[in-house]
Amino acid sequence: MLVMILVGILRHNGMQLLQSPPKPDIKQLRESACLLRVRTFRSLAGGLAKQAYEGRKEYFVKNMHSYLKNPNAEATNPMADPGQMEGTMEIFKAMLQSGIETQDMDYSKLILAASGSMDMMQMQQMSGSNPMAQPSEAIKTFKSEAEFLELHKYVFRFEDIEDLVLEKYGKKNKKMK
Amino acid sequence: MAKFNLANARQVLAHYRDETLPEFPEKLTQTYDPVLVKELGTTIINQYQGSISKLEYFAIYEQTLISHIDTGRFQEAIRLYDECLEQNQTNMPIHKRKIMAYVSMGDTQKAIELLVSYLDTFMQDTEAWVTLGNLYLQTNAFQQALFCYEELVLLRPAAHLYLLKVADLYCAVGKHEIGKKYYLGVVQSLADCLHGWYGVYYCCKNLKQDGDLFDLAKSRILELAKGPTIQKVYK
Repeated sequence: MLVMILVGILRHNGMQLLQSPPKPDIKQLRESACLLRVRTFRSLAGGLAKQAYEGRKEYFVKNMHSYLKNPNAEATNPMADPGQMEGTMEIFKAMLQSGIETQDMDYSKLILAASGSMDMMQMQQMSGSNPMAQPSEAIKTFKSEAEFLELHKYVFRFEDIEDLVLEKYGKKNKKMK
Repeated sequence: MAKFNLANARQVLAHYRDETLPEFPEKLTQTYDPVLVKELGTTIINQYQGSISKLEYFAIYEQTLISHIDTGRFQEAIRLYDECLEQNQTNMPIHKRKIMAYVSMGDTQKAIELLVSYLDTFMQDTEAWVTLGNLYLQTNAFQQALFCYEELVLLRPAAHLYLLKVADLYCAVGKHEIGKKYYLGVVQSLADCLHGWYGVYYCCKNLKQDGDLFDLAKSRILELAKGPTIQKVYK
């Protein structure tokens, strides 16, 4: 009995030694990180202002759907993101190249360019091959996450903060110190 | 010039490697001092190779190499890092070292580029988000910096520092109404946060609101200004 256990252990260790460690897969890593990010976003989105929230939500939903349609697509470079991105990027690149101090820049122009568009920091890229043990599971999780996200309702964490603070420090008319 | 003290030098280097030694010789800085390490390390390697164990020699060799990288040989460092990353794309510290090499060289643009692609995968890394936010601030890209700090609020929702930073940046881009809400969020839980109260005061002023909130903020600021902490700073 004991011999059998020992042999089993020996065999297991032997196999471990013979097999090389699996090469860490960056795409796999990124995929799971993305999923986690979307989940966290859903639970903590109250911390964001409306515009920030909407921008991210739109971005996540769009990318999740495009990933679900084509899970093996190559990751697109966030820098080369077409459309609204380029406007902001070009403005910035041009300014930085000609060495203009951005302090002189008209902030309203910047806000117009950036509002409603994704900053270059939106890094949600769903792509890459899926070497998960059960690809169908992964697809299912993504699908459900995408659905939950679409249905998510936005409530700003600090919506009624003025009243709360006034109450706390006893300055609100109803509650006199 | 004092004679080179081998035992001393070894202790210093071991301290930097290990940081668990109870006392350090002479006056050592708590933070890592690459110039000192480089000096001591190079002397040991060149002259005292025979007097220390092979294991320690190797450790010191590695330490000295890193200190050389840290004191200016950035291009070579980057080449090394690239080699390393070819073998393993998921090596986070090497990615970060490479990025910081570009920052030390002053190539902020390239550093930003690399940091963006690093965060594409390692989006949980708060340190990286903070660094990117600061780099954007250096280049006056307030909207982008705001984005980074908002990511940090998503990652660390209870951290007041990031809430304050987001508030500051909303004010910087002119959105005082939103900034005020964030400042209020902070003072709700931190009653003595001068930064928060001043933020409320400033936003109210900008929005031309001089109601209860404005008065409350003003009175809190004046109270805190009399307090011991502030008095100590301005003594």
